[in-house]
Amino acid sequence: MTPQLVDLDADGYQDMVMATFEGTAFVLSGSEKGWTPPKHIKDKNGDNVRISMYYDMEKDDYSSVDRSTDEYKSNPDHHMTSIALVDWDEDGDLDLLLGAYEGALYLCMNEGTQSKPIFSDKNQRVFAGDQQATIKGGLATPRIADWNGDGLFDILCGGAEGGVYLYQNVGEKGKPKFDESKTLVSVPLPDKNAEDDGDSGSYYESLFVPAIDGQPTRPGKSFHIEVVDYDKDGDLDLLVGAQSYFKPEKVELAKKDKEKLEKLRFEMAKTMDEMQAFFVDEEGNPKPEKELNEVFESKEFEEISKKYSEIYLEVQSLEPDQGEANYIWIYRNKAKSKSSPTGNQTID
Amino acid sequence: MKITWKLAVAFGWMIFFVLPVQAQHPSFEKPVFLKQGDAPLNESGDMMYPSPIIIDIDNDGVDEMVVGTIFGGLYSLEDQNKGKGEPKWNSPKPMKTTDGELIALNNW
Repeated sequence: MTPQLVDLDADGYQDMVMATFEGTAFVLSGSEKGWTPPKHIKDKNGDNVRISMYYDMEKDDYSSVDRSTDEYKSNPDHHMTSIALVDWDEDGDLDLLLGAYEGALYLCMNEGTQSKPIFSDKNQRVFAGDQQATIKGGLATPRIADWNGDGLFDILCGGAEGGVYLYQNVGEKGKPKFDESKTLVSVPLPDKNAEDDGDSGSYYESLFVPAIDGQPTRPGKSFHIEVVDYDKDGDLDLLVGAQSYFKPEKVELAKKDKEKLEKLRFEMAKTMDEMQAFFVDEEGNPKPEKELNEVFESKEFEEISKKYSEIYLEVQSLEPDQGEANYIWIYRNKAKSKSSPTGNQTID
Repeated sequence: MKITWKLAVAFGWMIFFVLPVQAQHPSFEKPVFLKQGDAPLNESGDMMYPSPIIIDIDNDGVDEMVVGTIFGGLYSLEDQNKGKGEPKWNSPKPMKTTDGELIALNNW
């Protein structure tokens, strides 16, 4: 839900704009006293700005709307999770670039003015080359920046599987046109062809990033990016919020803890056997789906699941088998004010 | 003559293959995670799936870091270095609205 600071209504106060997994966008209007409570960004009909799919908080379920134009068909399953604001057509007001969980980028134009934005009830698709712009792996989180210093805004995106992608604007002011995506940062993807054998399979192992001294060496997945001269050396760096799974360092346990761990592991295995007994009948055959639903809703199963979780957490506190980091990383641009990684950026 | 021809081929190859490849492959240093003191920033993981931006939210001329989370919250971090050189971040503080409520956006 990468926020962006813009003066959405030209009242002289910066507003904070962002989108969430609800499939909608919010604005926290700036004021003399601070941020006002969040409000949905509405279109010209008073409906929430969306791509298609959204989470209906009242119905507690997913729903979908059709905001296609005759020219640009929206995918009914595309679900907005990010937003970036930019004056797309150079008419002096801010338009909405919408990022979908499924990786697509859409555009919702401002048909109003700088001080009175009126957002369209239709979305257009954004193209890169002759293809619809789509971030591989999904979770398009767009940011706007003039990456190559040519005076035109470019689109940079993080994504669910990690990596940072550049859509370079090769059009002209007011008529943006984007090249096919270039990969600025690539990360090794989990091996989908690897053997998926639970916690011991090679697919599971490929989900982990390498670790040194008990810490991950790089961001893993779900890249949310910021384009900024972080080290103030005159070029644009990439700040990346991400999640990494890694293998923590093994710590030699004291004798007392080793004994405790052994007992816990025994108890955990025993509890797992008890849980599995719920899924089979007296003859050891799997229960039908209807009966399984009853099992999941039973108090007995809830209690034994809770017991298993408690033992598991205790085992993890003694000997964690995986670490999870939600860190913020900096990729420093080596160019140092001469040029961007893709070519000709010059920052005076 | 042969040497010149070979050089031409070599440079032609450089121009058509090596240079575009370099242009497409960015030159970043190895990523490092931001720290707070000696520990990783957000070691607790309170800011889950962090989405950071660097902006001046209080108009004091110094950029802050604002971080969105998967739970719909926003945190702000002040720069102890006051914009001089690379930032040194204070602890994250949950952001509030004018009515004193923690910012929490519907997330699903």
